Amino acid sequence: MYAEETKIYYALLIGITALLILMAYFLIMIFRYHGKIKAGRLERYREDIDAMESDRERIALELHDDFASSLGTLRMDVARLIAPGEKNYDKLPGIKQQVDNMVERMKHMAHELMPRELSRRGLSRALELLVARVAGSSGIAIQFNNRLRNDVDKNKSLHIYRIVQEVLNNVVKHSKATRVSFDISRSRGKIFFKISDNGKGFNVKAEAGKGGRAGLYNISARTQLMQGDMYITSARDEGATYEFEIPDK
Amino acid sequence: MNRYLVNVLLAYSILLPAITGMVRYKSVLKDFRPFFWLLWLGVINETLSILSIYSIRSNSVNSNIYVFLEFCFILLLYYRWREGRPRQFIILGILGLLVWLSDNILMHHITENNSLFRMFYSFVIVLLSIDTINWILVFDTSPVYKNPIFLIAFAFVFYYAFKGYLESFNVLHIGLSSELLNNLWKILYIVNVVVNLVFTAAILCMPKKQKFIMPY
Repeated sequence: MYAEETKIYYALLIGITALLILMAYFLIMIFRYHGKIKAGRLERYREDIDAMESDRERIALELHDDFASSLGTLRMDVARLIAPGEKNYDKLPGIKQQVDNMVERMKHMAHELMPRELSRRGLSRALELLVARVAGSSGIAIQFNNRLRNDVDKNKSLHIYRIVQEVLNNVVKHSKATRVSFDISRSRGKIFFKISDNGKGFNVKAEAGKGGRAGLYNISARTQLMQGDMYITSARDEGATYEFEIPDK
Repeated sequence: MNRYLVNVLLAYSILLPAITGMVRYKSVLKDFRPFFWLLWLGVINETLSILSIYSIRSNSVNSNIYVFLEFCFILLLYYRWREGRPRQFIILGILGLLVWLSDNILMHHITENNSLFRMFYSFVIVLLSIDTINWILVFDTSPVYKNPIFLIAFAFVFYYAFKGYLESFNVLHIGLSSELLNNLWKILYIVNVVVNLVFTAAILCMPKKQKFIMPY
């Protein structure tokens, strides 16, 4: 081999070796990330199933401990009422009260499963009631700027309602905020909504990188289902802002 | 046209993304700011290089310092984009500093055109860029051609892989003819122009706020 050829041969050898190292690194990292995504997905499935099971458990407990025992008491009262020779009509108001209580609790349970006002009165009114309820129970001052008309697609209404519910739930549970502002409007074929709090904030990238809280995952999944975009701006002790842009149609 | 003038013009293609960056600096996410600093540093270095060549016939000193600062800015950039692994970036930074000191003080003089650090940092940047590209391809659900991080990382791989390859000839003393080497460096100047165009596109794609995407 000529001297010049040897030099070119070495140069090519260096290039090919470098290329092989880079390709190996590319493949190793792709496999590593695939492993991570697989583990993450499995973890997510497990969380979804756990959440579903815990919902079922809660419903079963409420049915068993609350309704079953109340119905048992009611049954005994009615049995006494209709027993031959008994004239316990003075017990009727108490029985009525028991039935009223059960109806109220059942309504509450049904509402938790599916907000009734959403289908009856539309998203706008349902959000107003949700905000009032959260503000009342948490003591957080929520300023709600509602510029939304009611005719939002039924499926999207539920997703938006659940997203707002989840965000407010996160704010109440984790942020230690005292003030929240919530704006919702629609323009240019999109529904925009933004929820800001003055709480302790969190590291958004770190939260997203490690798979996030189950609540954030649900919010993100619903946003993606509606083909919308979600933005979170937050920093330690600077509160958090959740912004959403959802296609209207 | 004079060959030197052509090289200067090609090198100044960095002005395109640098000016675009000036226009968009305040309106884009803060995470992208080290990238603008990197571009502006590049413009300053090109200008210093011309002045140095005219005055002392060599741009080695400013170039040797520039490559270290360039490495630091790119590390900072990747640290901001891929938050959560500070130790890895601190180790890389310290390692870079050690290699730079060895190359420019212990083994050679700063007034020489030293290639060891250049080869090292090109290799590190290519690996970080490949890692980031993989991460985007696997976890990000938005279209990659509009993703500025993907575009920048892709351009880095393209540029630094070739640059590192050329620098390895100096480090390993392959002894290629100066004509062949000059021609290879000319290819790098063209690559530089393409990369600056990709950078400009990336700057135009930079978002004003961070889209939140769960990786799984």
